[in-house]
Amino acid sequence: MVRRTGLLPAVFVGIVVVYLYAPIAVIVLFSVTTSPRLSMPIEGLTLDWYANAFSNPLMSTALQNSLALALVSAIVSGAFGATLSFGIVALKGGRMRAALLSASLLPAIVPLLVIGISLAVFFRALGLPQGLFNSAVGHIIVSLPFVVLTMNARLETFDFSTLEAARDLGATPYQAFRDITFPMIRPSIIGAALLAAALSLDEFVVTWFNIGNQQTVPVLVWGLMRRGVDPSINAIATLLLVLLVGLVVASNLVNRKKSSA
Amino acid sequence: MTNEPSTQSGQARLTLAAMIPASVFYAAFFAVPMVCLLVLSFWTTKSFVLIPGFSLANYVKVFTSPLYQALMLRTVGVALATTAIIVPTAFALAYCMRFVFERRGQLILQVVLLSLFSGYLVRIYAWRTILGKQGLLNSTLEWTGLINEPLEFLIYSNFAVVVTLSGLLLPLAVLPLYSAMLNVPRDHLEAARDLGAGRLHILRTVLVPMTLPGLRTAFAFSFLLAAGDFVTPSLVGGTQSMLIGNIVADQFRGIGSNWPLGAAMAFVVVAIMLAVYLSTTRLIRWVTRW
Amino acid sequence: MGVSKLFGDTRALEHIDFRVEDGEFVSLLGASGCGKSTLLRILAGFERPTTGTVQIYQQDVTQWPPEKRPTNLVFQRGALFPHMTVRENIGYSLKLRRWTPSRIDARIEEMLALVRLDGLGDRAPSQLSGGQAQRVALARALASEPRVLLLDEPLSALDLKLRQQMQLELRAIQKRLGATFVFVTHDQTEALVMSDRIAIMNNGRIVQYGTPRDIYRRPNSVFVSDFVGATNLLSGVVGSIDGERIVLQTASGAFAAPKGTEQLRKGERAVLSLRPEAVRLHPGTGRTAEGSSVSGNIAEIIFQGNCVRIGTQILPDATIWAELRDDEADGLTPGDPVTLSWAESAAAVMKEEPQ
Repeated sequence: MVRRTGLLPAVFVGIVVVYLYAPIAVIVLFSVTTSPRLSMPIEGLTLDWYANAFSNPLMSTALQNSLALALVSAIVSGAFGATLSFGIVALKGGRMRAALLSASLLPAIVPLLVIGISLAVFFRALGLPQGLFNSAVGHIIVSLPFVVLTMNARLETFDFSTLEAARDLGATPYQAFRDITFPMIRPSIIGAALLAAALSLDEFVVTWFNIGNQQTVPVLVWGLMRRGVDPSINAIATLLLVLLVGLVVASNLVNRKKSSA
Repeated sequence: MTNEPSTQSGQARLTLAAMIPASVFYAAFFAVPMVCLLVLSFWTTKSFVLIPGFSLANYVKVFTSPLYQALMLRTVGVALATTAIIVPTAFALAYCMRFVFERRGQLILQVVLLSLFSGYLVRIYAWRTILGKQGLLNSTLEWTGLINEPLEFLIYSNFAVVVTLSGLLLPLAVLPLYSAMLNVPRDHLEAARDLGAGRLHILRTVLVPMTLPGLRTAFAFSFLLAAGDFVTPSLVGGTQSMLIGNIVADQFRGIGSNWPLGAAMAFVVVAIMLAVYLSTTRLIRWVTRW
Repeated sequence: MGVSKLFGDTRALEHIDFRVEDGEFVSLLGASGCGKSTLLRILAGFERPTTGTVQIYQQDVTQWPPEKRPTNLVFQRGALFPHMTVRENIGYSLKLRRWTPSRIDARIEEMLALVRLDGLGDRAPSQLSGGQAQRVALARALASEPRVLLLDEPLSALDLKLRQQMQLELRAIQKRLGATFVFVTHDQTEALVMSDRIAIMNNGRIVQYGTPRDIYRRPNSVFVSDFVGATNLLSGVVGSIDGERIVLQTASGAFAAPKGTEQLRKGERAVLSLRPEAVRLHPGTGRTAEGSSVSGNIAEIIFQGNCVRIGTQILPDATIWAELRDDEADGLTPGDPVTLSWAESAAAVMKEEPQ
């Protein structure tokens, strides 16, 4: 086990990474090739598919809706996730803490399909027509477990004696929260909110059962996929990919900054 | 001494109060809808009109219909096959990251996790592009002259579904396994080695038992999420590789939809998946005990 | 100032009742889990006593929250605010008290000078060494001129050299400011070096409260004599008590000691405590001029750098340790017959503790 970094592990990791990234590479590649028939050999390069994608009148609506949903999810999930994980970490009793944490992670292991249809049933029972609001609720439920999980990992290292120190120096509970707690966990909240935005932007299943006739980028892509091979899908997918990776990398950077400060 | 809550009472009350909105949200939009779904599963429909009541008709239908039985079996089979690919691969990957690449393991983890954020639909669609009859793999093989006829089994098959789902869910299984591996002290492996244990023996008596919580989570992620997926089979599976999720989805957003039946199916699927999950984890624990 | 406290039904603390005088440096000394930190947290206001009251300058503050109390606490690990600079940390309490910016700045400079950190005001806490961080914590706690400063083992995370230096500095700062310090520690040397008075705590009680000298010389229990410094313990039965003198009959002879505060009766089992540095050692066996003596053979010689510890076997199951200067021990070897002697006033007799 010691220092025998043979070739085998490297090859193995390489194969796995290729397995995970080949699909992504294919999409990006075919978003700029002329052949509409997604096959080898490649004939030429073009940006037509991007132009094509944006000429679709549904595209701008879908993008607007997606961004709005992402923003709402980021703010609401960020706020809820932060307060929830802070409460969980602050709890003294170990068992209560573990139980609450598991409960808040539950939506992550329930199949999205089940979450999606249960929300659809719920909103129908309330008499609320399907639409963006319903989808936003779904996005928040889906992203909350991941927000809680990342926040929780960061908060484990939170030094609660700083709060006592603030109180001791004359701060009221509210002032201690405003001056100490919030500034200290702000980077984690922003990181978690960016993650929630990414999850929302990519959400399809729950959206599909709750959005009715409205569009989001994944719903639009789904429609195009069902219809058959359309290279503008690759273009939209690549755009989505850039957005998602940007958000996730930003989320990581924000979180990292906190630990070095 | 000191009765706990009264200690930093103000602070404690503030943090507890802060938890209320999120908890209410969870209750209202996660727990209550689940209950609604359960209640609905006992209702019936007559020419698309919901009839409230308490009827087991939907459950009877799910359990007696040969079509649904076949779909359930296939779903369990596909999910198990996917898990059988994912868990050992993720385990080996996590092992390499922890004990072979050590510090660079973190970087590999980031790379693996990042692939999750390349778009869920996009990745499934990409596999269709790769595996299609005139897709990347077939056309490349034909172009190089290795085959004359496109390989038919690559797409619209159980094979395609398993390959796609594995790629989709693998990163989710790596995360819990890697954190579990971090809890295995290198000393333990070296001590076992030192005592003359063989590789298989170390795997069974040290590595697997010590990473059991991680294995269980990895198993849950891959099995439950694979079994509940309906997008993958509808994009890369054929008519012969539809899964139960497709039927459930159709009951909610399809022609001739039947919500109560779909709700009953969803609960049956979840119950079966939980049963399979629990019995399999028991099996793993039992196997590693001797 | 006066702090008095009574606890009825408590687990961590029991029937504690003690006063700290204005401008005093008092240490709460005890092993971990003895309740000393709980007591400090009660003084700071983080915990409430189940029964009893806390008074600071004749004012009952028992129900006051920490932010209202005229006390400030220096935390074990500093608890500096990581997102603020040193300056902002020190000025935090002043800002809460709405001091004017210029007054705050002046006070910060004063505090930085006091803890000898001039010029480090703009650093982040993460850029400070352990000793510097604790100085900032001290400055932060002192900035708003609390009437009582509470210190919760603030030096325990530092290495020995630094700790010794900080002990003297803390003491000097306290004398300069004339403030009241209540200092929690598990390190007996620390308590002896710094304090005006020490409260020794055990199992949630204060078992002895007195000046360092009193406590060292006149421990009132076996626990205290054993906890503070090293000691020799000889058990026996009280033989006679006359006036200020008490005689203990032990297996190795009868020894006299001044009568302590404890009420001992004739025939009661008791223990004689004798500090190793009070024991004199004479080669050979013979009577000595000093009060008490006993003879035996040297069993062990341990060289400790600044001194030599010599264990003399006086009975098959009893060894008395003596602490000598290195040159005093020249020429001694294990097995040598020796006579040990000590001044009667150096010994103390106390009740045997049931254990």
